[in-house]
Formats: sequence, structure tokens, C-alpha cells
Amino acid sequence: MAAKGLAVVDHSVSERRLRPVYECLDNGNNKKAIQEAEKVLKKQPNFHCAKVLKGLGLLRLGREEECEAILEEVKKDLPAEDTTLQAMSICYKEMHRFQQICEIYEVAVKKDPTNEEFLSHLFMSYVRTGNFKKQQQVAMNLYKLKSKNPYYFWAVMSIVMQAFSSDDSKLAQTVSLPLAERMVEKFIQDGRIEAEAEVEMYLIILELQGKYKEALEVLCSPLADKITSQSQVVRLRRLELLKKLNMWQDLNCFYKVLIKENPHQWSFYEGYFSSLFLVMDMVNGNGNVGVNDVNHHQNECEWNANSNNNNMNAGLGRMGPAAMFDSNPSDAFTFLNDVLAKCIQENMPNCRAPYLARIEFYRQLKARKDFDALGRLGKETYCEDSSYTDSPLDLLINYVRNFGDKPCLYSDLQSYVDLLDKEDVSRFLGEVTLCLEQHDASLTIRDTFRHQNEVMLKRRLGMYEDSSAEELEELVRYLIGFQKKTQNLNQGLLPTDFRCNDYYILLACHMLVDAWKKTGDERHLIRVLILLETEVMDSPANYQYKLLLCQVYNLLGESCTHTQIPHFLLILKKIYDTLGAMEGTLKWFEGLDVKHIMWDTVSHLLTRHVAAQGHFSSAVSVFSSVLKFFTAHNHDSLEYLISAYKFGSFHKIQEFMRFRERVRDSHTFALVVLENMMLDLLLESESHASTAQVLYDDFLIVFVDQLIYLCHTLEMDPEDESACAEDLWDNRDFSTMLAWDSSHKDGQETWQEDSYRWEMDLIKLRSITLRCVLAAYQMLEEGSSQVQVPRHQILQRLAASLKTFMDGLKTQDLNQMVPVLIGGFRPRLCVFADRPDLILSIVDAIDCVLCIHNHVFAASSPDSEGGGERNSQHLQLDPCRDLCMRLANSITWVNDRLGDPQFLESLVFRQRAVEELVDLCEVLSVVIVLCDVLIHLLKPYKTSLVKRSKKRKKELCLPPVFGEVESHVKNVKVEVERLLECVGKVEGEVLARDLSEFLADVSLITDNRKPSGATQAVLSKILNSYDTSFKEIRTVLQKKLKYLSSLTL
Amino acid sequence: MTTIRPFTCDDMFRFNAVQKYFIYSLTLTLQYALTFYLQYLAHWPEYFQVAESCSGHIEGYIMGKAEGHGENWHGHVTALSIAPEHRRLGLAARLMANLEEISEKKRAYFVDLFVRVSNQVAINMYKRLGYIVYRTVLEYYSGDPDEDAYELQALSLVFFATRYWYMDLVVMNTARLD
Repeated sequence: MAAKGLAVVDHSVSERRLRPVYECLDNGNNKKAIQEAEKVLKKQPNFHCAKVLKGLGLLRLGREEECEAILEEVKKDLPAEDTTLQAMSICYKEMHRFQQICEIYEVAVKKDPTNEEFLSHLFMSYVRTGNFKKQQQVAMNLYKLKSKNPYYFWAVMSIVMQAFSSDDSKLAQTVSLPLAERMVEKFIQDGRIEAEAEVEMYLIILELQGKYKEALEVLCSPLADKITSQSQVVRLRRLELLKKLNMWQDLNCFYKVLIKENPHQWSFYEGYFSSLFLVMDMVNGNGNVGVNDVNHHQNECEWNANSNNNNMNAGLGRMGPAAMFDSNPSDAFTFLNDVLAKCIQENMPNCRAPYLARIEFYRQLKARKDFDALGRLGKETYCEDSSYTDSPLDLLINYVRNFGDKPCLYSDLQSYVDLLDKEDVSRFLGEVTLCLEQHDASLTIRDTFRHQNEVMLKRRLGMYEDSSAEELEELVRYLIGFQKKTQNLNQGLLPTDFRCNDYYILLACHMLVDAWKKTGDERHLIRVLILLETEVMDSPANYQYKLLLCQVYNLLGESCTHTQIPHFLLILKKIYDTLGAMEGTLKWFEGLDVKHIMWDTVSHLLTRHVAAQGHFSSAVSVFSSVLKFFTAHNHDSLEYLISAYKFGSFHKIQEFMRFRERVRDSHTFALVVLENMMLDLLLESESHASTAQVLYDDFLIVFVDQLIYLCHTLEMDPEDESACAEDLWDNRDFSTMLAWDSSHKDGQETWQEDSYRWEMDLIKLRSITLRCVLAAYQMLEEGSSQVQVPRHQILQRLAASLKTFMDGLKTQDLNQMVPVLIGGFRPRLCVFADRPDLILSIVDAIDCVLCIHNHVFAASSPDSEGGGERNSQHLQLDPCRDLCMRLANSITWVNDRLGDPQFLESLVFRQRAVEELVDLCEVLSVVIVLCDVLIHLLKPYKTSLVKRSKKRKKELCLPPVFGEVESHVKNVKVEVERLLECVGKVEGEVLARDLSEFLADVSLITDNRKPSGATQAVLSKILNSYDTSFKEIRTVLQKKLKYLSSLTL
Repeated sequence: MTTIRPFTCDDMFRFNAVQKYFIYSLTLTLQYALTFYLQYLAHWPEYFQVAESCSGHIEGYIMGKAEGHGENWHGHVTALSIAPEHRRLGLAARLMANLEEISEKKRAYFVDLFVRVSNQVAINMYKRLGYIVYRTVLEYYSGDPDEDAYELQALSLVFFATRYWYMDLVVMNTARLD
């Protein structure tokens, strides 16, 4: 037996020998690790662990196959030794083969059934693969071996997970969950409950079965004492249960007690209101009682509550004195005012919730159309202090008086200002406005916040909507003036500290953007850029060291040195996007320092634009970072699922699984996968061989890797309309960017929804297109490999769905979309919708391929000897002609766009035209691959014809199809040449053009004293960006021309 | 008008975009890998709390753990961040009080944390909350240049209950310092 070789060597000896190998691996020195492992293997050729570690080194050097061979070899010897198994697990984990880990531990456990270590590893391996049944068995075996509580509860949790994941909810409710419940109850009866996690588990099981009352009883029993981590937790759980049991009166009392104890907690107020309204509905529903009778009913309800199963006690438990529940608006107002009075009395100046709660209550009453209560609000005063009268105007003004100098004021009030009537708005703003000019000399930090809040609220309330561009310019000057005036307040701040006057700049930028929207004058955008570039460079308090830092880090390190920069950066980025100046965008995106989950939540800022603007090499690196994050996450997050079992955080297990799914099924991920493939095709496919590599290596790696779910989604039947439509998560976070537009909130939400739909459509378009390419290419090798469905049938179906997709797209009105600074601009799908010719030329190209395929198939089938030739005489290559016509059309159109005088005059127009050019290049690269397929379909046919003619010793007379296809390829080539020529011409013009005309007078935003360094920086960034775009596009087109030249028969 | 509640995975989709610009940073790096958050959620979920505004914005979060053996059993604040717009409202104090309460329940002897020596605002805040500078850790924060950290500590009620004799010592020391 192989294990003997191991047993001979003393454990400590082998450990000593392996140490250098481990060290090298830890340090990332894989080559040395392999050498060290080989040294050990010379002494002990059968040393399993050394072999596996060598394999690990190989794997990390990218030699996966060699590693696999080693693992296979070791696996045959059925190792049952801990270090070897662990090393193997690491290898399998890095290869994403979690199933293999189960297998090796299954073997080990069979060999050594009483090894706790092996069993526990086996359990974890099943967690990774999500095999809950096996998990349960192993956990029970562990518990039988060593009766430790955690093992028992692992088994219970495994049963609960079976219930979670089971499609059969009846089975879960009648078998799994009751079983789990009995298991825990047995433990309780035996008095063996030890830990918080165990009680937690019991509660989870009870709640899953809807046994809320029982769960509530548990929380009121001595078992709840086990939940020691937080007294709050027990209470919050009770609240949840009371809600589920519809015990609104108890809930209302409970919330009142909680609010009194902790008047800060906003969720308590929300709970209080919802329970109050439900109690009110109950009371009113009982017999249409008027408000005057409520007191009577209230007592009755309470009495009922008390008599019914002692609900009150069950609910409050050991909460303290039971309070009376409220059942009408005036009670509620009294209560809220009491809370507020208490806050004032106890001197809690930061306690905003009671103030806001009154406004929220007003809003809820309004939403319920409780005009009766609302009417009385205006007249009655519920507090002795007459300053607390309850009209929304008064409430809001009161709020501003108390918190107007806090930076949070705007975000607190933004949704409540809509409660104001038109007449009230001016009164409100009049109250908000402070005459700052009066005490210019000594502005305090509080003053600036107050002032900035005022401008934000004014903008929110639409005060600037009708301003002319001149008025907006004046406003910008005013705001920047204040920013300069208040610079002295920033003294002594840390690099990471928040500058109190940053909002002035942000507001000024928004105003300038508004001015651009109004007039179309792009100089306003350039002004924003200059302003921000200057501000970003400026140190908050002219600290010399900071200036130095900024220069040294070249704007990059800035992101950490300036808290408000993200907002600056975002605006900068947006503008650069609009202007198509990707260089600026890229730079500032780097400044944003996107990491980790931000690749999911904010990477859309870049991923949707970078390739579209022709910055292909940057796109490659951005896409690979995005994909790296997603793949790593898929792998890493599994280990934390295991941790949750280990630490008994059972309630987190389901949450973790959902989180994994949400990241895995992110639509950004899907889109980037597809965009990346498209980019690969665009950049890498330059000959028949390289195309094969792109299609088989690069595509399939993504498809075959562990992304099974995504693959599944993307590979679903394209005719199925529901395919991959609603299934993906939109994880983009648009709230990162501040804006104070009056319609901002709604605009943002609809924008997110709409853009998600368009992006899902783009995903669909990309996915069908790419699958067409793959299917067409696979037609070439149909003879050699066994495929279930003939590729030409699939291709036919895909072409049909591409056409259907395009038909559907026409009906959508994509251009109606308003550009929003906060969300984004025109979605990429727009160009394809505007110019259906682009995609339809792909459809034509597929038709060509199908046509030739049928022709060759008919000609070379044995029973039609000679018939094929006859057929070929009549072959109509209409699709080829259509295709060339469409391509010519599209190219002429793009040429026109590039040659349009606007192209030189308007940067925004330029951005669009470049995007259109890139889209055309993408289509061309697909068409060229399909041309390649055409040629290679004909090649074997030609060989067979040549052979045949040699046999018959006849003069070779090629059917006309060959000539036609060759001339078709030539036609495509001519078109590409035409495009290339035009791109070259425009490039020269663009780069020769001086941008200084965009260099408006900058006195609006800067002092004259300042050198125009920032201005120059902005202009050169924009110019360089076009330089890169055109250079990269030209390179791609040249490559494609070479590819086309190589396509001959 | 802030709700403090347990942090959930879904919060990561909303808080990562801004969290690195949150300040009060005691943290070693400004932004952690996803796995770091998951590790805390798996191991010390009760110590990971988030503050959310009525409009659903994340105002801040606190992240901590319980560690150490024997007399060194203590709560540790790993990260505490408040968004710029929500400073000066006592939110950090509320989050800290929460963490301290949990530590008391776990019978921890003290709570500690690290802070950049330059971060005077944060240091002042912790001092107001009853923390004292326990020691200086040289070059704790890597960067350019590296920066030292203060280790701040506050003893818990558990500590005083079990080691009342120590209290005299502390009082004596404090008196001497004054």
C-alpha cells in the first residue's frame, strides 16, 4: 500500500522537510517551491504531500494540466493523511473543483471513520457544494463521535437548509422543519442548550413554520437569556413577531416605550405610525365610530387584548411598565409632542427624529387623505409652547431653525419639502434665507452650512429652473465668491477632513451644467472641468505639504486627501464622458480607486463607455479587473459560508447565499463578460487561426469556468423571450453622486429602471451575436466533432432571433431619454436602434453563410453527383449583395457623420460620432469572421473538385460560386478601406484643430491671478483622448484589412 | 432620525461606493476587501452595525470584535465611519455605546481601538467618550510616510466589578497626573 511509504517517515521529519516548500509557496515564489518539493521527492519519491505541493506550485505558474496529473496520481493512492488532503483541497479550490474535495475526504473518512478532523473537513466540503443532505449525515456522524453541541446544530441547520432549498414547500413544512424542530426540542427538554446560536436556530425554525406565537414564548422564556449579545436583539425580534401576529395594539404600546427610551431610532417611529394606523382602521372598522368615541373603544380593545391569551404580557414580556396604545391622530400628536418636549428638556440638541417624526406623521395623514385630522392640525396646538404649531410650513421652518446649520439638513428634508403648497414655498424659503452679506467678515462654519443648505433647497424647490444662462452665470460667480471667502475656515484640517465649503463648488458645477443644457454652449462644460481640476489640485487650506503631495501623487493620491473629491470626480467623469474624452474619464476613474464590490456597484461609470470610445487597450484592462473581482468573489465567499457554520451564525447562512447569488447574477457582470468577448473579437481576430483561438480559448474559458449559472442564463434558448430578462440583479449604485435637481429622485429612479432594461436588451443582442459567430465557426468542424444539433440549424434559428430582436427594437423610443447628470447619458443600444442596418448586415452575413453551406452540402452529397454543379449555376447570392449594400450604407453614414462640420465644432457631437464609428467596427469584425467562414466552407469543396477533376483528367472548371464569394470578400475589403481612409482624414483634422476656441473666458470661475495651468491640462487631456481613440480604431481597421486579404480560395 | 440596525450583506451594495470617503477612520486601510466584511459578519455579526437615514442612505457603520484570552478578553473597534454630511450629530457616540454594551454583555474587561496620531478630531471624540491613550504603536499605519497609532482603551464595568482594587490605582494615578 502506498500509504506505507508515508508511515515509515516520521511525522516531524516530513514536516521539517516540507517547511521550505510551504515558505516558498507563501511568499509567492512558486518556481523555488517546485524545486524544493523535487528535492524532497528525491529522498522520498512516494511522499504524497510533497507531490501535491509541487502540483500547487505548477498550478500557480499556470500549468494546470500538470498539476491535475499529479493530483490524479495521488488520488489513486487513496491518501488519508491530513496535510496531503489539505494541500489537495487548496489545489482543488484554486481550480474551482469543489466536488473533488468531497471525494478525497469521503475516501479518507472511509479509511478512518473516527477521525474528527476528516469528518469536519468532509462537512465543509459539502457546504461548498451545497449538498445539504450529505451535510446532515456527516454532522450526525460527528455528533455521534464527539457529542459536541455545534455538531448537532450543524445537522439541524443542514435540515433547515434542505427545507430552504427544496422546491416542494409542502415537504419542507411537513417533514424537514418539524424534524428540525423536534431535534431542538429534545435538546431543550434535556437541558442541553448552551449557546445563543442554538436558541437562534430554534427561533429560525419556528418562524419558518409560521409558529410566531411559540417563537414569542421562547423570547419571553428563560431561553432568551442565552441571547446575551444584545438586549436590543431580543426586543427587535419580539417586535417582528408581534407584527406577524397582527398584534397591533401591543405593538403600538411597545413602540411607545421604545421611543421614550431611545428617541433617536427612526425605525421605531415608522413602526409606531404603521401600528397606529392599523389600530385606527381596526377601531373605525369595528363600528364606524367617531373620533369622540375612540376612548371608549380604546379601553375595550385593551381589555380584549388583556383577556385574549394574555397577549399584552406575551408581547411586552419583561419590558417594563405597560403603556396605553394610541388609536387616534390627536393621541399620536400628544405623544409625539411629549417625546419632543422631553428631548428638549433633557437637552439633546442632536435629536432630530422627534422633529422629523411630526412632519412624517403629517405626510402619512396626507397620504391617507385623513383631512379631518389634517384640518384640525392647522388650528390646534398640542404643545403648550406656541412655537410648536402643526402646519407643514411651521414644522419645516421649525426644523430648519433647529438644524439648518447641519450638513445633513438637505438630505433630511429633501422628500418633505414636497408637502409645501406653492404659496408656502416662498414663505419657507424666505425663512430659510439668511442675509449672509450682512456679516461677511466673520462667516462661521455653521453659516456656510446654512447658506449652502439654502441654495440646495432652492434648487430642489425649482427656484432656478427658469433662470436664464446669464442669471446662472451670475449665480456661479456668487457661489464661487463665497467659496473663496470661506477658505479661511478650512485651516488646520487633516487631509482626510471634510471641507465645509465644498458644496459651493459642486453647486456651481451643477449650475454650469444647467447653463449648458439650456444653451448648448459647451464652453460651460469646459468651465466645469477647469473649475474642478483646479479645486481638486488645490489643497483645502493651502497647506504646503499637501500641495506637494498632490503634485507628487499626480492627482491620483488625491482621492484619499480630499473627502469631497468623489463628488467632484463623478461630475468630472460625466462631463468627460459627454465630450468623449476618455482620457479624462480614465484618469479620474483611477482617482476614484474602485475596488472590491465597487466593481459591481460603480464600475458602470467606466465599463459602459471605455470601449465605446475606442480606448480599447484601456478597456481590456478595465474589463479584466471587473471579471477578476467577480470570479474571485465567487470563490472567496464560499469560505465565509463555512465560517458562518463554524461560529454558529446560522441566521447569516441564508443571507450569505443570497449575497453570493446577487453578485454572481449581476447584470454588470453579464454585460462585461459579453463586452469583453466582443472586444476580444474586435482586437484579436486577425487571421483564421487567431479567430479560432479567440472563439475557443477566450470564449470557452469564460463559459466553462465556474460561472455555470451565468452560462446557463446566457445560453438559454434565444427564442424564449423571457430568457435572461428578469433574472439578473441591477446592483448599480446611483446614490453615490449628489444632486439637488427638483425632479432628481424620480428622474434617477426611472433612469435606473430604463437603463437597466436597455442594458438587458444589449446583453441579449450581444449574446445572440456572439453565439452566431460561435455557431458559424463551428460549422467548419462539424465533420470532426459530434454535435447534437447541426450547427447550421442553430445558426438559422439565431439569425431569426436576431432579426426578431431588431424588429422589436425599432418600436422602442430610446432617444426620448433625457440626459441626467446623476445617471448617465445615451445608452449604447441607441446607435443600434437608430441604425438597424448595422445589425441587419450581420443577419445578411449569416444568410450568406447559410446559403453557401446549403449549396456546398447539396453539391457534395453523394446522391447528387453532378447535380451540385448544375445547382451552382443557378445559385443566387442575394444576401451577399444585400450585405455589401448595407455595409456601404453604414459606412457612408459614418463617414458623413465624421465629415459633418459639427464634428469639429461640437465635442458632444464628436463623442456620439466616435461611438457610432466603434459600433460599425464591431459589426465589421463580426462580418469579417463570417467571411472567413464562407471561404473555409468552400475550401474543402474546392479540394474535392480538384481531386475529382484530376481523377477524370478533365480541365478543372470551377463553378461560379467561388468567384462570387471571392469578389464578395473583395467588396467588403473595399468598404473597409474606404472607412479607414476617412478615419485617417478626420483624425488629421481633429488633431490639427486648436481647441482654444472652447477656452472660454475663465474669469467666471477663476481669479485672473491664476495661471491657466488647469485650462491647458483640460485641453490637452481632451486632445490626447481623441488621439488615442483614432489611433486604436485605425490599428483595428488595418488588422481587419490584413485579415480580409488573407481570405482567398 | 437615524436607525441603527445590524449590518446585512445587501448594505454592501450601497455603502461601498461611499464608505472609503467616510472619515473618523481608525482603520488600517480605507477600504477592505469583501471577504474582510464577510469574515466579520460570519464571526461577530452582533458587532457589525449600520446607521441608516430615513431616506435609506447609509450614514455610517461600526465594525468590531471580541478577542483575547483571560485578562485580555476585550472588545475591539475595527472600523467606525460616519459620512461627512452626518457628522456633528453624535452618531459615532451612539454606535460606540452600542458596541460597548455588547462588550459588557460578553463580560469583556475593556474596549480598545487604534487611531492615527494625527487624527485629532477622532482622538478628542474618543476622549470625550471616556477613552484614554494606552500606548503608541510605531508605524502602525503603512503608507507614505508610515504613521504611528495611538491605542486607546476604556475599561468596562465588568473590569471594575471584578477588579475593584485596581480602581484605587487608577484614581491614584489620575490624581498624580492632574
